[in-house]
Amino acid sequence: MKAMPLSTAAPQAPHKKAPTAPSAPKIIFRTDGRSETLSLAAGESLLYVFFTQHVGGATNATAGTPTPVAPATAAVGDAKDQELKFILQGRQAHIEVIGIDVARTGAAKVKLTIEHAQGDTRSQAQVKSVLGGNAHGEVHGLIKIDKGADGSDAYFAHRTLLLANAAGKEQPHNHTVPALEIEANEVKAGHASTTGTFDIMDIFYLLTRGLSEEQAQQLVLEGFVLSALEKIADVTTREQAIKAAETRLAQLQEIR
Amino acid sequence: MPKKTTRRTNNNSTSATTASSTNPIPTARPKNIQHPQEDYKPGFHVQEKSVFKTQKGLSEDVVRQISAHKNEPTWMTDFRLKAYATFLKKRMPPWGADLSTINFDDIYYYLKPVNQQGRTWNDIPDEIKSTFDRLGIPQAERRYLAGVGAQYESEVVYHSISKHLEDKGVIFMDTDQALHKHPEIFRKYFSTIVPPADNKFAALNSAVWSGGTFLYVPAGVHVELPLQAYFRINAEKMGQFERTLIIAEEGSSVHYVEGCSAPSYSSESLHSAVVEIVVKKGARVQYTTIQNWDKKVYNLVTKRAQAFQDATMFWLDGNLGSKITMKYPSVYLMEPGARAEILSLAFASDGQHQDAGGKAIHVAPNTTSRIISRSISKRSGRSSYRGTLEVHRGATGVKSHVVCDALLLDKESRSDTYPTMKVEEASATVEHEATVRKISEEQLFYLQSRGLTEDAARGMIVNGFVEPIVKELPMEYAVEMNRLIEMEMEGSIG
Repeated sequence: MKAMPLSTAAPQAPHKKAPTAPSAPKIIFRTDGRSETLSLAAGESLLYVFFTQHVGGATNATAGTPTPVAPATAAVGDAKDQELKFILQGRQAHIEVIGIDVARTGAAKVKLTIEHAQGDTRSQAQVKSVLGGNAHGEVHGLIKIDKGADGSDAYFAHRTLLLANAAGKEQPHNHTVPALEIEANEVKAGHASTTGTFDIMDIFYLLTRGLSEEQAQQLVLEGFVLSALEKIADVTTREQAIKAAETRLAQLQEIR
Repeated sequence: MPKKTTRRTNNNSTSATTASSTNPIPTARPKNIQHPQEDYKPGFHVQEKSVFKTQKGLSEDVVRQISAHKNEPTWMTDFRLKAYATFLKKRMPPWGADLSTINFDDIYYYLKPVNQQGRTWNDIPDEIKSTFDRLGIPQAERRYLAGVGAQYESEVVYHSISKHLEDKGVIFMDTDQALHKHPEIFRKYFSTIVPPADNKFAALNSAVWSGGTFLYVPAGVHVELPLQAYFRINAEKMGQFERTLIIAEEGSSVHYVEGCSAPSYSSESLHSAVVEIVVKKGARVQYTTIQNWDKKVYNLVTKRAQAFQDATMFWLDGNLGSKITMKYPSVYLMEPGARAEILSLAFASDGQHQDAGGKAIHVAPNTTSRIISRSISKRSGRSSYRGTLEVHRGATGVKSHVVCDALLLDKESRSDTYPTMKVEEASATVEHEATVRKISEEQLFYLQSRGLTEDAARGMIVNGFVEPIVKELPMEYAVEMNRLIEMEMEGSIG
């Protein structure tokens, strides 16, 4: 896929001095699960927020009627790879990626690549997954720092909350593949991945405060997802994102 | 603290000149952290002697020759031939290091250096004895080992075990002997952990395997001192394919250490081992590797253990040498309470590619794993961590923690991290984190402000970086490891 420049401005020479004041971040908000490749020129700043699209599995499940368990491999086979690639091509370019993946059925596969082609660039990427039922999530996060891209600062995190099914018949599947390919040494690069269910101490604390177990779980769940969105500086985008997340969480709750 | 000889420019230039004439300004750049390959002491070789050697290259005939020469039972000959067919069918791994330069036809697959294995060092020919003397093996045996095996080319030339362990029923011999002397134990476990079809190199090893260690620890026996095997390639264009099988019965414990080296030749050699380990209920096995092959050796090894109820499998994997290493020690956690620990240390320099890591496969509930990886890359060296973590459905209450840290010492080097985590059980807790960095200026500055030279400060930082792994080595090996990495800085000047 050809990399689309982020702005229509003429691409800058790689070594051209970056503008002194970074421009206000551009914002892209996606809920359609599309694949795309974007490149950032010197001084450009982008906030990219996306929601995954789960395909396959039973989508019209209603509360109380468990859906038949589809073999997990079949489910992920249905999923189209959502490939997101960001190339930081100019100095002082900065990208922040926030991904939300909430589902109780079907499969989604995201392949996220952030390439630091130039030095003095920054990237932060965070994907939060909440998988219940027999949902199958797969997230790849590759940070590539090219030779000579000194002064790059990159971080990727994928946090997954798995919801145990009361009947125990279904299990969500989480597949996470963070990766680093680093060819410059004056860099900061890292990634983290966690997979787990509710922390019993979190729940216990809320129970002691008089909440029911269900309420406690719901509260922790909301906190888990929304904490990624609440720091979005732009009010319109933040509200749009929170609304989208709440809708998905409500669907999840309805079925649980 | 030594006096600084540098002067600010606005200082009296005469005094600066005087100072430098009496005490010349050091021109030597700070010595870097030395990789063991830069001063490769095991790079010597002695004249090749063999009592039997197959022709170059691999064929069904070569496989038959090896088996016939070893007087093997028919089932083993058949096993080898079947594995050879599998080897031909299997593709090279499409991932990992670049193996396209291996020429399977330019390698000798079997070379028997002596007719008779020695029980004392005096039993073996002088040139082989002197090789191991120079590597310090007999000295180490006297000082702190309970048993030693020494493999030279394709065969184990020396094997010993202390009397009291033998009396307790511990079996420590080379794998070929075990096939003849303990066929019942051998056949029960051999190739059950790593089947030939596992991968191309496991198939290759299964077809032409020779030597390696067979270790059986009876129930309840604790082997207090480490047992060591040393693997030496001496001949040119040699392939070494040892096969190791370790069985720790219920409630036993043992620590096995392996070391390896080869001479520096201009042509390439191949080392492709298979290691299989069974850790029964409540037992503990530690397997320590200090791999220091010459820079012309392809090191492609399959190592796997099965840990049963409440058992612990501990891999300590140090990769310093070789041209390319691809090795991912694995633990299958088969029963509740089993525990896996994998500590991986890689140091790549001068075009070396260390593709190392670990795998933990959680099949049973309440099993835990911890993987720690530290890698250092310098002078166009490339270190890659590659790992797999799986939690199978039904394996409830699993906990796993993986930490990978990489240090890049210069701009030519490269570091990769490729972990994969597959979780099919909601009650699992799986954590992974990784960082890549260089030696931080702040740390250097702090240590220098405390009076350390830059060299000493770098050495201290690197030492601290690998410490979580080195500290798990027995004292003597920790010293050895530090000596290998030469962390003490040479030529430090104030």
